[in-house]
Amino acid sequence: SVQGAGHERKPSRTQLSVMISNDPESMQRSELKCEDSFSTQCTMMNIEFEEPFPSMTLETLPKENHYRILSYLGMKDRLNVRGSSKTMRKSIKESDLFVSDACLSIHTGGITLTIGHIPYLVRNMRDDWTKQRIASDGDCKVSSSASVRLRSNFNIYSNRSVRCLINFITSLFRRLCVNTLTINSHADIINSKLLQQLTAQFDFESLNLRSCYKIPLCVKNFAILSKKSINGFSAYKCVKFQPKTII
Amino acid sequence: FLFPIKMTSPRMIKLTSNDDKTFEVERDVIKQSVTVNTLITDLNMDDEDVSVENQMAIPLPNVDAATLEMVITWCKQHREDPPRNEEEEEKKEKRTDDIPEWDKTFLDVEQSVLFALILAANYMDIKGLLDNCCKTVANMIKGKTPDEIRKHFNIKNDFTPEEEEQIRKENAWCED
Repeated sequence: SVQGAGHERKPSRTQLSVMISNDPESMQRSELKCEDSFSTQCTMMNIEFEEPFPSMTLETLPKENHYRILSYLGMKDRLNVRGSSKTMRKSIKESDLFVSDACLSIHTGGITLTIGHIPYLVRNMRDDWTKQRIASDGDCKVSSSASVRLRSNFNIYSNRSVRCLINFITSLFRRLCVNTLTINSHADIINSKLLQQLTAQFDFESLNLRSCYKIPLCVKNFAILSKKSINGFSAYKCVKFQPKTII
Repeated sequence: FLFPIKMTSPRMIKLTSNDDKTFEVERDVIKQSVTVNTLITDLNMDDEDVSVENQMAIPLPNVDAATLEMVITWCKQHREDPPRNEEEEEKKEKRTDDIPEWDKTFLDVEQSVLFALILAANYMDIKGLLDNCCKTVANMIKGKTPDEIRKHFNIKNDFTPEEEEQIRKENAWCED
């Protein structure tokens, strides 16, 4: 048995006792005693720190802050945050998932059309109607719950395909409040008919035309507000031209 | 002829945290807080006749001293920033890769501190600070699964396995 190893500290004194035995059974255990005025008052397990204000966590942030954080995330991340606990699910309403997404994005890589988060709305709000609509339009089909795809024979230069696309989008637009149209990828080669018809039929406040090789098609009543270069392509932001009223 | 030049010291404003610590901060620095700025204007605190000693301290009941000190440090760093046009900011593309390097280092703090800063920035209406804090949190979330989010933010999973499966099905449309 070895005893001692006294250790001075201020303001209280700690005595450390280490017991070592030759007994094989008790070899398994060693005892560490900590005796001082501090430890007699509280043990590590029982210390209660009184904090004047509870520390904040992601869960306890107010809803408005959740909303702001979500606005910087893509849809998948938004869903994952919302699905992390019941508290988060309660704080972030389903409609909050669509913050800053009041737009329709069209990605045209020639064969694939993904319309923003519409499939989600489709699934939740008008599943049957849209599926029927797509089926009747022929060139479009829902290939998965995640995206709406065009058939591989879709040709953006084909009048029939474009007409089909316009029909499909305009049908959706009538049922959704969309005030911004965003077109990603090769906006300049999208058939002018599409832009002209959409902008003529719907009261968009702005257009985002991304990944353009050249100046986008001139759309009636829209003016280019800004031009940015992203990955070697140009992105244009167009806003509705508001003629000044002459009194 | 030499004329005496009157040296004018910058106007100071007193702010009191919820744990009763008072900070003196340059008027020009704290103008970034819309809340404080409005109070100063409404209370005619820009009146030159009132010395800082006789000046009423502005109470900030939602901000503790440690957080307020950080807020003031941030405001000092950004005092030369051009005034924000909120309408333009709202229209801007939402990016998280544009946090200035100084802010990245400044906001590399414990989560509780970061969240306290979000609350303070929200209460004091300092949009620049609020945006960069929220972008920092968004960067922590990006690309994580719900389970990874729980671990990172110390969130307790209070769903039953059935509920979790239901949510997974609901969110399947967004999977690649």
